[in-house]
Amino acid sequence: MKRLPFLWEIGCEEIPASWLPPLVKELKQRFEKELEALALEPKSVESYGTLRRLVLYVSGLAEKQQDRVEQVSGPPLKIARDESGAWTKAALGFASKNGIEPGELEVISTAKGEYLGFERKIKGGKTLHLLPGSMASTLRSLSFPKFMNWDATLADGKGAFPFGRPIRWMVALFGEKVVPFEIQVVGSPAVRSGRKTRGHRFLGPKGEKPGQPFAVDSFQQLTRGLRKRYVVLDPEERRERLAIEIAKLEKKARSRSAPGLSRDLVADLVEWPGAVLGAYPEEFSSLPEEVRATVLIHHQHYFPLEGKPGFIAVTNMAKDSKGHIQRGTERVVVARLRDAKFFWSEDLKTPLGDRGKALEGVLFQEELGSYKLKGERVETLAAWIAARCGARETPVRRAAQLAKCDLTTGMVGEFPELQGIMGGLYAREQSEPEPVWKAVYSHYQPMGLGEDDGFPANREGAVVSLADKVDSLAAMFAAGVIPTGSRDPFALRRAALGAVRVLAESSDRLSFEIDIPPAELLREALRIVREQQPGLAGEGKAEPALVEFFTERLRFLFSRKYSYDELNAVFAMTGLDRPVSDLAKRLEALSLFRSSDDFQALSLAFKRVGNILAGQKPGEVDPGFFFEDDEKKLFEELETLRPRAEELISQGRYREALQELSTLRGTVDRFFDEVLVMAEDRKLRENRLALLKRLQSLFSRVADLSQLVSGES
Amino acid sequence: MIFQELIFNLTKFWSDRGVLVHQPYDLEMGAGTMHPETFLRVLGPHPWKVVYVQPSRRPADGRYGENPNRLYKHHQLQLILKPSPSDIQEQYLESLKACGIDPRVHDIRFEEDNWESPTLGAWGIGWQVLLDGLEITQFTYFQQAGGIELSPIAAEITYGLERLDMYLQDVDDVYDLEWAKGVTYREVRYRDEVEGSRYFFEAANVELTRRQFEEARREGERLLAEGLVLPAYEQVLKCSHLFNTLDARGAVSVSERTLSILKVRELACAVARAYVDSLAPKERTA
Repeated sequence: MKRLPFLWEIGCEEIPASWLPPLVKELKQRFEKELEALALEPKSVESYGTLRRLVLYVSGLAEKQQDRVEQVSGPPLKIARDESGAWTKAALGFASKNGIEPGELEVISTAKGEYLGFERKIKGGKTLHLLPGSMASTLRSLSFPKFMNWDATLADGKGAFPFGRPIRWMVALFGEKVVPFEIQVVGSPAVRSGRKTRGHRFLGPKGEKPGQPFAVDSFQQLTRGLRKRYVVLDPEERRERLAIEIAKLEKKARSRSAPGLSRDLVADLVEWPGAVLGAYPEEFSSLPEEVRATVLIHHQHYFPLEGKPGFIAVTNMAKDSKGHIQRGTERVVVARLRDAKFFWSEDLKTPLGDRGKALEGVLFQEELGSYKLKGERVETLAAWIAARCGARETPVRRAAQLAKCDLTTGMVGEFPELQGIMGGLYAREQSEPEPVWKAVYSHYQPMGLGEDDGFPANREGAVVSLADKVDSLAAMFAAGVIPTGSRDPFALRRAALGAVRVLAESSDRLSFEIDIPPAELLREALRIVREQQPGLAGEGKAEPALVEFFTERLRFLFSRKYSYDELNAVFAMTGLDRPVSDLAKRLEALSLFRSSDDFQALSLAFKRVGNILAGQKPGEVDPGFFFEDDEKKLFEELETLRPRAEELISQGRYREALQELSTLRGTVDRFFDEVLVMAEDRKLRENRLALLKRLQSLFSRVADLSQLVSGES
Repeated sequence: MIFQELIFNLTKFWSDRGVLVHQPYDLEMGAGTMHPETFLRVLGPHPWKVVYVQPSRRPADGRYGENPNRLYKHHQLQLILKPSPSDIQEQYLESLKACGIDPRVHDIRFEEDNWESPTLGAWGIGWQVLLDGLEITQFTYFQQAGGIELSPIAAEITYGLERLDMYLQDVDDVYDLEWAKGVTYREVRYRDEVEGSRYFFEAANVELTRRQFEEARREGERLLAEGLVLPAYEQVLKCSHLFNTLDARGAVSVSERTLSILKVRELACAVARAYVDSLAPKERTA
């Protein structure tokens, strides 16, 4: 079968950089699916892209589909043939309906019986004619974070064609032929597929007007032609080029670019990565580093230089021959830094604590009112947490009072991503004690699961962070704002995950044990919400929903370290009624125990115990009623072990408890080998069942071992 | 390029391309988008091309004339092309050349920046255009206005005139801009900024403004009921500005803010619906 290359370029107006990597990947996946559905087996499918184009390249695609035979079945044989063996009216009708001669009819045997039918030869379609359909479905299937209406329609009969950004040109070549494709756009000529692509908007080879369309015949010509016209099509190559440009300037500046800005993102903001070195006056070095980084990174996508008043700005230009770009970037940065400096000195004129009143004017949520109200709840909850786990109440209260005050500062108004951080910095400048300002600074953390997502800097910070997040959850749930599917406008999942992390990790990170069972914490938070604002819409149903939501997040956090059956084993026995650290210890013990030799044997035993006990309600063991030595032995060993095991369990030393209990292995094995549990005699049987129940319930105080799936670890 | 010349050149550029040159609206507004030539003309199927300068008031941005970049009143040059031509970006870039910008020696980029106006029930998809890192234009494909899905889609291009000209004149302080030959921006506007800031931050009569807001809203509803769509829209504009005044004055409480925005939006959406309904039947669908 002859194979030809297929090249497809979708020329767009600027696609947001953050959309590009998933989009390039999806284009390949979706198109492969389309080819699969057409039984067209492609040789390598690759996709590339820049902010102005998505490109798909199949190095070899069959020219046409294979011819194939399809079995068409009709009425059951018993109504298709009469007694004499001739075709009935029904059979002849079937033949004529399908346009075949009666001679072509056959008998088809299936599992359901015999049917009338025939084989239809289907000629494989020409790929060139099939491609437009695949292209249309691929285009329609691409997922954008936000779609736009751009007055476009496709000729696939499905009408309006929303997309991420307007499509302005299209290259579609199968071998040497253009694959016909058309997009109608209101008020403009249709976008028709062809051979013509476009290079960089403003750069091109000598003698050619930049941005002029130019024709290509192949993928190789496309990449080469684009490179000549200042477009690097391959995202990987763009990243490498960018790294080289940055390294050159780092060397020149004798500094390094500070972390905090994704290079991949920046490489997708341009088609031809260039870079300029910028500097700002020394006077701005007095601004906190966090503020300078925010100006440079979040607002300009520039890389700050470490230890220097300067930055690297990535450009979409090959060079900056007149220095305009450098001067322009510096001017913007200086203007922004000047703004920031103005806010810094203005904000400092008011003591942070005096801003509490102004929080009345900052809305937390419609039903729940202002941040002032939220702040009061957070303080109450934080003090409660502090009292429960031995943190100092005075700095915790102070930090909670100050935590949201920066929402009324000019700086946070201008740079919302600095919330919390600014409060901390202002508190430090205004001589709040270190435990307080550091707590304010870090109370939004952790923001996610990564190491980069931070963690509260101290105990006070951990308490306020936890109180803040749990209050948001409790208050929102009470107000009936519960995340569903992809709708989570107040980022409550992130809040819950943050709270769970503080509960789980404060011990290791801050040597600070928060041993409050989450269920109690949630209940207290709801109580505080109710006390402040009785009669909220979702109040009645809040607690169970909140417990379920929180449990999910907790399991999610643990699932990064433990397998699902280990989670099932622990959560079957306990949950939010135990401190998170206790759950963690159980999981750790279980996971270690599981890799031990004894585990395999015992787990088998527990499966059997589980099966035997299913549906049974054994009573108490009668020690005088044991018949066999091995059951007696098991009972005695169990009872000898019990006090020690129970002590270990009550001390949370689950690992040792399991170790201790696993010494029963031999005895348990022998019990099952030698003793018939389901004995004929009812009393005997019930006594043995009671013994097994006793064994099971002791292990179950750590976890339900029968939940563990064997062969997995 | 002096300030007035920038306005002439951009206006001439678009005028030469068949665009109607309109004038600023004679009521206070926060942005050129609120001018009926944008807000109402983007509704319905009628093609429309218009350009105008709109002095835009944002009371909370006032800085008593002390900040080199911030003004309570700045100027936008607003362009609406409906439907949006397929070479709209290229045409826009040409217009920058008319301002004396040579794209071969600058770094001009379209970076994602969508626009939304809760008060007008309007939003769009688009970019901010960056010139060497400076935002000089907001470029938006309108998707909805007054809560109504739009078709055909209009492209809105908003040039921030002061910003753009500060770049062109290479000055760091807006008040140093040359407006006309030998006349600075300071001479033209400084006093307005100082007194405007004092008015919005200190002197505006809160009770009176609040009352005026309520009255304008009720008047808008009444006018709409009488079928007077454009006069009703003027009351929307008044409401919006009076609300901004109260806000700058620090006189809007949390619950009041949401409620007020909602009230203005409801009226704006009702006006938009009435406007579309008032178009001749054959004009209503494309």
